[in-house]
Amino acid sequence: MRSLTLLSFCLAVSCCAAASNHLSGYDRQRLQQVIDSAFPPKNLASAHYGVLANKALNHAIPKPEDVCKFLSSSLSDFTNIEQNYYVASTWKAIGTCSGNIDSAAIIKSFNEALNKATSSIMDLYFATSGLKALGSPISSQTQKKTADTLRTLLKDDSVSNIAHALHIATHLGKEAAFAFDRIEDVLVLADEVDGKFLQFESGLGITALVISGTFGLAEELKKDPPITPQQTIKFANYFVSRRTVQTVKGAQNLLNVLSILSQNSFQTHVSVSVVGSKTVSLEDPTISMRVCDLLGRPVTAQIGLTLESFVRASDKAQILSMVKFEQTSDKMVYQARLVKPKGETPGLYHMTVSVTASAASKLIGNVEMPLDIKILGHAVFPKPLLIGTADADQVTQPKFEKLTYPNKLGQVLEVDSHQKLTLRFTVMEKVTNKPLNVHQAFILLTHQTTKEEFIFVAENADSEQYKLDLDLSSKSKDLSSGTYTIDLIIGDMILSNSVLWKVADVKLNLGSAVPSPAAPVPAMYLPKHEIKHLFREPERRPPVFVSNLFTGLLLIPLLLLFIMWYKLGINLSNFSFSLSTIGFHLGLGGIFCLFGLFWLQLNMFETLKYLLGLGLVTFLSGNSLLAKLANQHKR
Amino acid sequence: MLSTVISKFYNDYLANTPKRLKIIDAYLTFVFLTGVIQFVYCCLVGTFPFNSFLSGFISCISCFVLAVCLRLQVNPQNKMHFSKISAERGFADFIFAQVILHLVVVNFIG
Repeated sequence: MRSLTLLSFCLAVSCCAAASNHLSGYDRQRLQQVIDSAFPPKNLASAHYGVLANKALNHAIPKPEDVCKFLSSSLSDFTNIEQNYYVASTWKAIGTCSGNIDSAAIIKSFNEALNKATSSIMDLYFATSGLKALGSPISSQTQKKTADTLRTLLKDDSVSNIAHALHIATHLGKEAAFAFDRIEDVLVLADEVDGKFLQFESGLGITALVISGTFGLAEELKKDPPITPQQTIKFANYFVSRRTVQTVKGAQNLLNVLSILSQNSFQTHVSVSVVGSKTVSLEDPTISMRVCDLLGRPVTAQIGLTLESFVRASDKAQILSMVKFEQTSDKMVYQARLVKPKGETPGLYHMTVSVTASAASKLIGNVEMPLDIKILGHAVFPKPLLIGTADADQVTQPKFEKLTYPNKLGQVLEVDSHQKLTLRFTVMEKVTNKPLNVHQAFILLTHQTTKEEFIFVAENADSEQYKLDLDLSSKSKDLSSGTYTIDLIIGDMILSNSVLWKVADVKLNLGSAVPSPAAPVPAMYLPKHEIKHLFREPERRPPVFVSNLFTGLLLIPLLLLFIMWYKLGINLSNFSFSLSTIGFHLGLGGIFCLFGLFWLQLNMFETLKYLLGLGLVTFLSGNSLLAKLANQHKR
Repeated sequence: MLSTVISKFYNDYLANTPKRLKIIDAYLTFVFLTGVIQFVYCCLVGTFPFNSFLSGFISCISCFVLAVCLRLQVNPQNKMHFSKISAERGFADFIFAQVILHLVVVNFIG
C-alpha cells in the first residue's frame, strides 16, 4: 500500500471563471480610468483621443469649456495639418464649445494639403478626416487629385500605408475604389497566434486602423469586405484581449474598432459566454448564458439562443438536444435547465450552443459554440463503515465495529504492533445510487500530542468497496506510539460535497515510547544571536615606565661615546669657517632634520623633493671640503 | 694568564692604533651597545611595535657594518688594498651610505 505523508492538500473543486470574450463592466470602468488621465488636457493628441473615447463610452467630458479653451489657444500655426485636424475634430466632437475657431482657415489648409502632389500619407489622412469632421465636402476635382497622389503613395505597400489609405479612400468616393482591392493584400500579412488571434506586427493601433478602414470603405462603396467571418472573429478576439491597454490613444482605438465590429452592415460580432460557474447540479440545475456585442451591450437584432446538443464526455450519450434558452429579466442573459428533476449522472459534459437570428442581421461568431460543463454529484454513505483490528498473520477474521456517517466511534480502539488496523467503506452517488470511484479517498492519522499527520490511500478493491489494511509491524518505523485521530477524506472534482469524517480514535502500542509534544517553534525558526563585529585585540603593551627606562638606557652608550671621544682627545682645531665647511655641516644636519620631519609628518615624495636640494648642497660643499682636507694631508 | 693576554692586547692597542681608528672604534662600541640594549628590550618586553624595533635594530647593524668598512679603508695597514681610495673619499662614501640608509630606516619606522 502506498502511503503519502502530505502536509496539506486541497479538496476544493476547481472553479474557473468563464472566459470572457467581450468588454465587461469592469473593463469599461478601467478604460474610463485610462481615458480620465487625458484630462485636464496636456497636449492636443491626448485631448483628441480622450474626447473621442469619452464619446464612445457615452460618458460626459469633464469640464468641456476648459478643453475648448485649450483647443483655441493651441491653434497657432495653420500649416500644421496634424494639429489642425486634432483641433477641428475635437472641437466638433465636443459640440458645445462657445466661441469660435477659424474654420475657414483650417479648411483652406486641408484643401491645400490635398491638392499638393508632395503631401505625405499622414497629411492626406488628417486632411480628409478633418474635412469630414468639419462637414466640408471635398470637390470632385480635389478628390481626383488626392486619389492620384494616393495611388503614387501606395507604391510603398507597408501595412501602415495601406491602413491609412483605406481611411483616406473612404472620403474620396468612387475615385479611390482602387484602394478596396488592397484590403485582401494587407489582410494576408496579419499574424495568427494560437489559432485564436489575428493581429498585425505593429500592434493595436495599426490593427484597429486596418479593420476600421476595411469596414468603413466597404460601407462607403456598399460592397462586402473581402474578410471572412473566421478572420473577423480572430481579429475581434485579439482586440478584446487588448482590453488592458494603458494609453488614451489605445483605449480610443480599441473602443472605436469594437463598436464598428459590433454594429455594421456586413458582419456583426456577437459574444456568448457563461454567467457564473460552468457547473450544474440537482440543487442548481440551470445554466445562464450572456449574449451581447463586443462592448457588452445588448444585440439590437432579434435573436434566440439554442442548446444544440448536450453530450456526456464518458460515453458520448446525448442527453439533450435543440433546447431553447429562455430570456431572463436581464435582457442579455438566457437560461436553460440542464439537469432533469430526477437527476443526472455526474461527470463532464460537452455542450454546444448557437445564437439564432434572421439572416439579415448578419451575425457572426454565433454558431455551434462548444462549452465544457460539469454536472456535480453528491457523495453519501448508505452502508455503515467498518473499522476493526485483526492479527497480522490473517488467521483470524477481523473484529469490526459498525459506524454510520457522520458519527464517531465511542470507544478508543487499541492496536499493537502485531496487529493491523482495517477499514471498509462504500461511497455512493446520491442521484444514481451507484458506487462512486472518487479521485481522493484518504485515511488521515493525526497524532494527538505531536500533531504529526500520516496519510494513507484507501484502495478501491472490488469497484464497490474501499478498504485499507494498515499493517502496523511494517509501519513501526514511521509511526510512533500514542493516540491518533482517524479521519476519512473523500474528494472529487464532480462532487458538490467534499467529506472530512472524524471516524475514531485509535491507540497504537508499537513498543516505542510516547513522544512528548513537539516544541511550539523548532529552534531553527527562532531568531539567531546577533553577530557583533569583533575588533582585533590590541597587543599587550609594557608599562610606560619600562619603555621610558629603555629609552633612557639608550642614551648611556651615546654618553659613553662622547666620554671616549673626549678621552681620545678629539678636537675641532681643524675646523675652518669657510663656505664649504659650514655648507657641508649645515647640509648634513638639514638632511637628518628632514628625516625627522619625514618620520613625523612628511610623505616620501615631499621628502625626496627636499632631499634633492639639500643633498646637492651637501654634496658640492662636502666635495670641496674633503678635497681641501686631502690636499692638506698630502702636504 | 688570560688577564695578561688581555692587558697586553689592550696596551698594544693603545700604543699602536692611530687616533682616527680609535674614534671609529668608539663609534662602533656606541652602535654595538645601542643594538644590544634594543635586543634586550625585545627579549624582555616583546617586539611590538615590530617594524619600529626592526628598523632600529637593523639601523644599528647597518651603521656597524658601514663603520667597519670605513675603518678598513682608513686603516694605514690596509693601504695597499685601498691605494686609490683616500681617507676623505672613504668618509664621503660613509656619509652618503648613511644618508641612504637612514632614509630607508625612517621610511620603515612607521
